[in-house]
Amino acid sequence: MSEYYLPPVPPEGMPTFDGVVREDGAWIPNDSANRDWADYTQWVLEDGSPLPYPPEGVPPSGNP
Amino acid sequence: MAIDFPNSPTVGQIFTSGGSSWQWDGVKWVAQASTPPPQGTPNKLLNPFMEIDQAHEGAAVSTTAAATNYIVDGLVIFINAGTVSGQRSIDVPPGYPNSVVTTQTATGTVAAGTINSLYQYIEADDLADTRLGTSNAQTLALAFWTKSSIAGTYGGSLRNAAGTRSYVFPIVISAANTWQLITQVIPGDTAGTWVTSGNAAGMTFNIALTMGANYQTATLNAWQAGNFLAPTTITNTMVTTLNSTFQLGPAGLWVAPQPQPLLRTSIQAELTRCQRYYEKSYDPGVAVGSTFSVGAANVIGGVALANAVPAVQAGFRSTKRAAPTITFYDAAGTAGKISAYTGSWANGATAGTIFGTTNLVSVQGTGTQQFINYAYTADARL
Repeated sequence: MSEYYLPPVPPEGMPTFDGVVREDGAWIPNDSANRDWADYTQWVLEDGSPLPYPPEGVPPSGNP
Repeated sequence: MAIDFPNSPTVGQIFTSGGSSWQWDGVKWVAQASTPPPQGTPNKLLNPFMEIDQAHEGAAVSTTAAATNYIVDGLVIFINAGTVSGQRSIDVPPGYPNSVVTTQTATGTVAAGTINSLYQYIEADDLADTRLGTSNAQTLALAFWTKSSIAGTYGGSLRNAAGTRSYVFPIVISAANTWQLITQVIPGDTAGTWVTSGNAAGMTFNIALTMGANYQTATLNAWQAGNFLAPTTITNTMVTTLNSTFQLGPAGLWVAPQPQPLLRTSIQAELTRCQRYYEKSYDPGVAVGSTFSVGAANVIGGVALANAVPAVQAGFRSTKRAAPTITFYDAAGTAGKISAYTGSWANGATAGTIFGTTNLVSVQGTGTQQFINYAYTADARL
């Protein structure tokens, strides 16, 4: 089961990413037609809660 | 006048007599369309010659979990018993570039809920001309090449995306390890609820390698309500046989009264179709996660303006089906990271933020970064 992170605080003047960052470093947009977003929403329904974005960035969990 | 078919034909051989043609499928002569294919009957299947493999470039994909795993662009393997490895292959019927091969690398048992299958989603917008679910539903035709290490019966099916309408037909492989052409004409489904517009999945074309009783049916060659993927006569020994193999070669699904010739479009046309669902910044043939040199011509890069952070806006090669998942790779090939210059180049940096659409992605650097370089994948697959 993947872990998810809230998006990082953006550089000044930039909008915050509308989505989440998966533990493998994938940026998943808030789009109901995106299958990764569907997986994330299912994870939330199963009581998952995204973590704050780590100060050093998300450590990758491995390449595909 | 008697028709004198050749003795000892080779698989794929075409024989013509009296204006009609037949093709030897390894077991029998199959009549070919006697008239040119009607205009406007494109192949509905994505990557029908199994040649585009952007994500893996021929490397094997091993799967054990019940999850959607793409072997090549457009083609999924889904299993929940044993372990299966799937990959692009150059073992093909005559005249074609590629097939896919699955190998049962660890066996499993057959339970009622077992699903080991190959399938392809078809986007709803690509089904508009089928008129499925209406009184004017059009006839569909399938043709595909198969080969298996185990002769026997497998399952072919079309199903609506909700899994409430199914059409199941047997795939009978008469001889092991021999390419065989399978054809099937399927009347349009005039009942049920079909989604034939929009960017969601509208239909799946499924080949059942092993299938539990929950998804088997004795109602063959007819549409029915329910979620069925295989005949009750399915052989079902693929999952219990170590190193058993199944191959799918060139395939076609058409709105047509009979199977059409498996005509190959251009490599660029097929790649562009595939990039609606998935693309990478790496060149074709270069594996995702390969290392690169910072500043190389084929790498995405950006530079900081005064009192700002680097920013890059890159257009996708093809408009995506939906807003895609973006994964960055640094010059060392590490997923989730970018390369950044802060007096010297270093890998393992992170992007500040991104925003994008189905057409482009804009990436911002952070802090003291002066230049950024990265490769990416954009994934909007069904």
